[in-house]
Amino acid sequence: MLVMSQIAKSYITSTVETRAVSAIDLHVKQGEFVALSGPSGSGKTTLLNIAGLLEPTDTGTYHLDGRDVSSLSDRQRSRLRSELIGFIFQGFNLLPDLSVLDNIELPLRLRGLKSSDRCARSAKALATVGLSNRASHYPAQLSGGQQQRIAVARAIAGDPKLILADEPTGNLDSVMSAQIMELLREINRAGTTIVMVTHDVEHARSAARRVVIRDGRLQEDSAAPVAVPALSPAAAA
Amino acid sequence: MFGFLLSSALRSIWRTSILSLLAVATIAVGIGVAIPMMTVYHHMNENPMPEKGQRLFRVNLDNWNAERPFREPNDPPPVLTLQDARNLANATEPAARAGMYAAQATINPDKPGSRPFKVSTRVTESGFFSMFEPRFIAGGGWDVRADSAKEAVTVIGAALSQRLFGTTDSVGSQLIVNGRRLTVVGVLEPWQLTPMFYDMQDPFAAVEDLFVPLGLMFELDLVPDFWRSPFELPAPLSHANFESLFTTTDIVFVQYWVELPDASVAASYRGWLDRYVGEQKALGRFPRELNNRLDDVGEWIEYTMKDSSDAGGVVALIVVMLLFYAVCLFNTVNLLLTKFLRSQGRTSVVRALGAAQGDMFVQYLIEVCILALLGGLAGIGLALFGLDAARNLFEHGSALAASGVATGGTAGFWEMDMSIAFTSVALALIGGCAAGIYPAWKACSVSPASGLKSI
Repeated sequence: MLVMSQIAKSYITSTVETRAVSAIDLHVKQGEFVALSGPSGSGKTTLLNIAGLLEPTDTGTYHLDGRDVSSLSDRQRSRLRSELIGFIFQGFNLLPDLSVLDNIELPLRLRGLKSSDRCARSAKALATVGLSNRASHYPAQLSGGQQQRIAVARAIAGDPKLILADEPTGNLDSVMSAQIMELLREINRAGTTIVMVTHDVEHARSAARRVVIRDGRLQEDSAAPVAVPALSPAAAA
Repeated sequence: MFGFLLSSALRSIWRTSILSLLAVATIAVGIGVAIPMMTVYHHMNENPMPEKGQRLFRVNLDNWNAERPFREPNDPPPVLTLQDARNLANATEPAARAGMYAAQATINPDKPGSRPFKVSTRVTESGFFSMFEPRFIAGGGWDVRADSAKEAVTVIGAALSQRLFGTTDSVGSQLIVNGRRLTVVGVLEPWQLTPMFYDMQDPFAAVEDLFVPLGLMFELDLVPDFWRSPFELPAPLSHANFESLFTTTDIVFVQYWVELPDASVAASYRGWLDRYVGEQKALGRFPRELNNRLDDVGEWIEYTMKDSSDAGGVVALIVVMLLFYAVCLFNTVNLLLTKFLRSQGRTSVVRALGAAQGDMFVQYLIEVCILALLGGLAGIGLALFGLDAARNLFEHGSALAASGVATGGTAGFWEMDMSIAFTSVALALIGGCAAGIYPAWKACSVSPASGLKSI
């Protein structure tokens, strides 16, 4: 699903170059649940952003669902993001002036799906997170846990192959966190690959695979590293 | 996708309503200030005789001296000698003709205790009224017979009639002009003619209040406001030698207009003029190369406007106003930059969910277009207010307003027509979009990952 090889990324601010990640090799198979942990500033979120095509790499190669994404244009990357990836953010990032239903429909609209299709998918996603009765509410009318469940619904509405979650329980209490984690496990059981950044040791342990990043380098990986597979010409295209 | 981007743009405008309002107001002020001057310039260049303008011609002959042209590069004088004006009466082509000039006359009111006063006067011939068709409240213009018989008649404006006789129907009344008693044969309706195309020495001058026959010019001692001599005069001009100088030298002062029914007659008349100048050359006059001009109203306005100080002033004002609009647009750039960068987090979320950089750029441009459109419409409102204020200012100071005569005829000059309204909106859209490109590009070029950090 996700194959990164020798990925490096630096940020240059005025005179200082900060290396966020360096020489990362990461292979996530379809259906895996990977917890990405490490201290603050270790490069977890940068790696997640690279995985989500939100940030280009300086060096290295990245294959997502069999496609080399290193040389894609912004529009191609956006299209791929829309079709393959669902995002869950620590701060929920729901748009406050859109209703719950409109928030969930947003990525589907960007993908260009028809209204009927959008409605059906959104309703299904809302049912999955157990908030069908909140479709016409606005984010401000919901609790933090409910907002994150809506964010999960938004992420899964498009049936993505990969969900990238950046500390999805970071702003929630323990009860809500447990509910969200259970929801993610359910989604994973249904076959969706999940890569989750977390500080929480418990949550990291509950993932099938744990990867630890320190100082921008992959320090521990509970799974054995996998070499980048050779791509078929069709897949590469 | 467009529908989504449009609704997103509208929501963004609503969400940042204060900044949006400021951007609209900034564009509106720029448009509102620039458009009144453009309206004035637009009307200045309009053909004031749309139905007859192509049949009325200004005649100019070049009898200036051989050393230099009247005006560079090789313009003939815009006025004729009295001798040429009289000779041109021999041509058979014109359906009507009139020589004319502007002068100042003194009126002695025939009331005890009233003081003499000066009025702008048009010294002309009967053809003036048939060619330019001013509207009369009472009576009419004098006829050709009155021209040749040098009858002591006059046509006056409504304001003067009101002032002298307390009525706008003063036909048959008499007034004393430069010591000579003249009989009123017609009273004109208020006549706002801008530009005052038949003269054009001052395009913004008001139409004269007093019209007297050209044949009375020496009798009334009406020295032209504008005259030039191609040669040094034998003596300085004075009232004592006025008639002799203006009849025996090549002093030019007569503005000459003819009405020619169609193009073939106009061509024939042009040939006649050339032959006339040829004949005069044989008599030792017209030392310069043949350089006649025969301009219809539109051509005449265009020819004279390019050198008019008023037109130049208005053009300069338009340039200043457009520069002011440019300053407004610079402010708009700042406002839009603030507005768009404030939405950075939201933009990054939408981009993370699948929107491309180009989509967001289009959304921002749609937003800018809406704001510019609103700014343009609000600018039209401001411009209408400005034009109304200018009209009130000008009319309040005019003699017509002072004498209590309605001046409905002046409204058109200060009115915005559809072409100016369309120009306003187009100017707002072009300016607004130009101002929006940089902020939109700047907001879109921030990577979504950086934007997400800013939430």
